[in-house]
Amino acid sequence: MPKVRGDFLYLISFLSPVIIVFSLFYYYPLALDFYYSFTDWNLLTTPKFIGFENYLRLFSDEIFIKSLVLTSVYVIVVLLGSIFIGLVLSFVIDRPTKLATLTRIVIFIPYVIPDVAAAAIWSIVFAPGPSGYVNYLLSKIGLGTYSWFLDPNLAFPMIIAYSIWKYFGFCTLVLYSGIKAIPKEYIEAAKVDGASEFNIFTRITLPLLRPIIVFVTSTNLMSCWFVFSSVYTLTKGGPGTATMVMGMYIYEQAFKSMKAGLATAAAIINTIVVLLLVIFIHLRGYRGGLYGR
Amino acid sequence: MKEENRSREPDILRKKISRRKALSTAGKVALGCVVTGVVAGVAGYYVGAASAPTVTKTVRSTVTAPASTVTKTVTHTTTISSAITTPTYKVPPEPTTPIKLTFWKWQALALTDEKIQEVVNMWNKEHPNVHIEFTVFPELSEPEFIAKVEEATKAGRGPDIIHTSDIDAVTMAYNGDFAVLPDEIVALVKQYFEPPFDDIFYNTEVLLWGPDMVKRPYTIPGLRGVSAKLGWVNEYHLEEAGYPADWDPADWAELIEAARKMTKYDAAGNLVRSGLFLRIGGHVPGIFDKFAPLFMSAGGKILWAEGGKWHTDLDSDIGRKTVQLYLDVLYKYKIYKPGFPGDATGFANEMCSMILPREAPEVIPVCLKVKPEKFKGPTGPKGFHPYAVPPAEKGLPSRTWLDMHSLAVNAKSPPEKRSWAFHFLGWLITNKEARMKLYNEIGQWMPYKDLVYKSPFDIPMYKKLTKLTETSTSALLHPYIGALEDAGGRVLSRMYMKEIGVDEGLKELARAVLEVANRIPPPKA
Repeated sequence: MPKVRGDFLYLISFLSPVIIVFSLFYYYPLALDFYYSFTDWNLLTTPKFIGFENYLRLFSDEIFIKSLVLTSVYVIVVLLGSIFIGLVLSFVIDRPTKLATLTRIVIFIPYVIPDVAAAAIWSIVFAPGPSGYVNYLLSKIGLGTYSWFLDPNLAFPMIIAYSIWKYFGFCTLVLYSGIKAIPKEYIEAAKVDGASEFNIFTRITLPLLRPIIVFVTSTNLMSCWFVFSSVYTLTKGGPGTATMVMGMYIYEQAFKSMKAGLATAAAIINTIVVLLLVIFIHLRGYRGGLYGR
Repeated sequence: MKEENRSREPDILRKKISRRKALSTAGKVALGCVVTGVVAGVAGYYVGAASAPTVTKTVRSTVTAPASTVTKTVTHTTTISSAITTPTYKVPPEPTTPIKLTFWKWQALALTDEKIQEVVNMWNKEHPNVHIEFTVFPELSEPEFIAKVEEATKAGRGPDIIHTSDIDAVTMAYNGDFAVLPDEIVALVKQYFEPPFDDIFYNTEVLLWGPDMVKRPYTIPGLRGVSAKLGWVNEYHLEEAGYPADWDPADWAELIEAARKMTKYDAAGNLVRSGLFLRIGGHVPGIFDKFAPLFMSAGGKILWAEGGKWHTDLDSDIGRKTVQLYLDVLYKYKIYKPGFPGDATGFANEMCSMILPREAPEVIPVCLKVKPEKFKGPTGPKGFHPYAVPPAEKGLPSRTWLDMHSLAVNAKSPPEKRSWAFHFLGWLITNKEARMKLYNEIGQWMPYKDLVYKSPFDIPMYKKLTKLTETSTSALLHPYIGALEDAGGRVLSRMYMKEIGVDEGLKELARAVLEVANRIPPPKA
C-alpha cells in the first residue's frame, strides 16, 4: 500500500505542471462557462442566477434551431466533400510523377493561409456586381452577375464551397500519409491473387485507412462545428440569417446582443453535441480494433 | 461729491455761447463723426474680410413630445455673429513630475486618426510633462470596446480619455465609466459652437443617463465631425434622368420615381446601376440605424417611456409602410438587389445613384478619394449633394438622427490624470490650429463658429449640410441603444430577405426592441 501511494505521489509530481496549467486555462474557464450558462449576464454587470431559463429560451428561439440545422448541414457537407476530394487527390498525388511534390504543395496552400485572409481573398474574387472578378468573367460570356455571398439563396452554398476548398488540402495530406503507410506487400499479394483495382481499394486500402479517416473526421468536425472567422469575414451570418451557423450565433448573442449568459448556454449545448459525436465516431471508427476485424 | 456735481448742473445749462462758437463746435463734431466713420469703415472692411459677416437665421425644428403623439414645429429666430468672441482656455502650469495620459479611440478612420495623432503631438510638444499616448482600436465591435475599456480600467490600465460612438457612450455613461464634464468645459462647447448646435449638443435628448438614470453632460462632440443621417444623390445621374442637378425628393413617391429612372439594367435584365441604395445588410445595428430615420419620417416613434413602461410604434401601420418601401425597392421595382454594390463606396463608384440615409463623414471623403475627377471641384466636393430624408407623404416633417462620436474622461482615472484629461478637452475646443487640422484641413464638417464658414465649408453643399443637420434629433433613446439596434436590425434583415412575413416580423421587431429596453426600468420623468 505505501508503495502504491509512493508511486502516486511520484507520478503526480510529474503530472502536476500539466494539471495546473490545464485546470487554470481550460477546466476553470469551462466550469465558469457552465455556471454563466445559468445566469442572466451582459458581459458588463454581475451575472444573476436564473436556473434553466437560458436553455429553455434557446429551444424556443427559431434562429437557434435554424443555426443548429444549418451547422449540421454545413458540417456533413463539408466533411463529406473535403474527405472525398482529399481521398481522390491523395491517390492522384501518390503516383510517382515529376510534378507530385509541387502538386502536394499547391493542394496544401489553402489550408495554411490564415482563415480571415483566405476569406478576404474569396470576398474579392466573388465580389458582387459587375466589378467582381468572377462576375466580370461570367458577364463576358453572357452568364450574368451574381451576389455570391449576399444573395440569400447563394450565400450558404458559397460558405460550404469555401470551407471545402479550405479543408480538402489537409484531408489530402493526411490521407496521403496514410496511404504511404500501407504495406506494399498487401497490395502486391492481392494483385497476385487476381484482385481488381476496385477490390484492392475497398477491401485493403479503405479498411487500412480507417483510423486516418476517423482522425480527419474528428478533427474537421470539431473545427467545422464552431466555424466563425470565415463566416464573419464573408457574410456576418447574413443576409438575414441565411448563414447563421452556430459560431456566429454565439458571437452575435454574446457580443452584439449582450446576452452572454444565453450565448454560453448555446456554447455548452454545442460542446456536448460535438463531444457526443466525436465519441460516437471513435467508438464506431475503432470498433473491432484499430484496423477492424 | 454727488451733491457737488448736482449743484453745478444748472450753471452749465444756463451758460450762454455765441452763434459763431456754436457753429464752429457743430462743424468740429460733424468732421469728427465723418473721420470716425471713415476710420471705422476702413477698419471694418479689413476686419470683415477676416471674419464672416453677421448672419440672421431662422431655425425650424420639429419636436415630438415624448409622452404623446403630438408633433409641433417650433420656429426660433436668432441673430448671431460668426466673429467669435469666446475666451481661450488657460491650461494650468504643468506638473513637475511627468504624467502620462492614455487616449483610446474606437473605430479606425485613416485620415481622422492621422490628424488626431498630429494634434496629440502638438499637445505633447506644448506640454512635455503631460504626455498623451493615442491608440486606435479598429477591430473591436462597440460592446467589445466597452468591455475592453471596463476590464482595463478595473486592472488599473484603462484609458484616461475615451473617444467612441454615441451608441457606446450612452451605455458607458450608464455603467458609470464617464466623469461628469466640469461646467467650464460645457460652457466652452456652448460658446464655441454655432447656434443651434450649442443647444443641440446639451439639450436633454443628447445628455447621457448616469447610473442613477439622471441625465448629465458627460461628453463633448468627438473628433470625427458631426453630421446627420441624410440622403445623397449623384447630380450627373439626375441630369441624365432629366432632373435638375439640385433636385431633392419631396416624398417617398418622388424618391421611388427618380430611383426607377436612374436604375439601369443590361440586355439580360441584370442590374448594372441601382437608382437607390437602402441599407438591408452588413453591420447589423446599422440596418436598424438607417431604417429609423425613414420610419420617423413616416410619423413613427421608435421608443418612449410612458406610465412606467417603454413603448414603441414599430409594430404599427407606420412600421408596415416603412418596411414596404424596402420591399418595393427590392422586389417590386427591382431598384436594388441584395449584394449589389451600394452604400458610400457603391455611391462613390457610381454603381448607385442615391443612398438613404448616410452620414457626411462616410460619404464625402470616399467620393473625393474614389473619383476625384468627378467629385472634386476647385473649392470642394461637387457633383453630388445631400437631401433631407423625405417624409412618407408631402406635409409630414422630415426626421433624422444626429450622428456624433464623443469624447469623455474616464471616471475611474486618478484625480490628477482626470483633471489633466479635462484640460486637454478644454485646450482642444479652443485651439484653433488643432481644430483646423481636425476639421477644415480634411473637409470634416464641424459647426465651430469660427470655422464653419471658412474653406472648404463655405460652398453651397456644406451650407445645405449645416441647414439639414440643424433639424436632427438624438438617437440616444436608451442606455442600451446599441443592443436595441442590434436586436431590431436582425429582425429587419430577416424581413427584407423574406425569411419572415411583414406582420409577423413587425411583431417580432417590437418584441425584440422592447425586450432590450425593459432591461432597464424607464426613467420616472
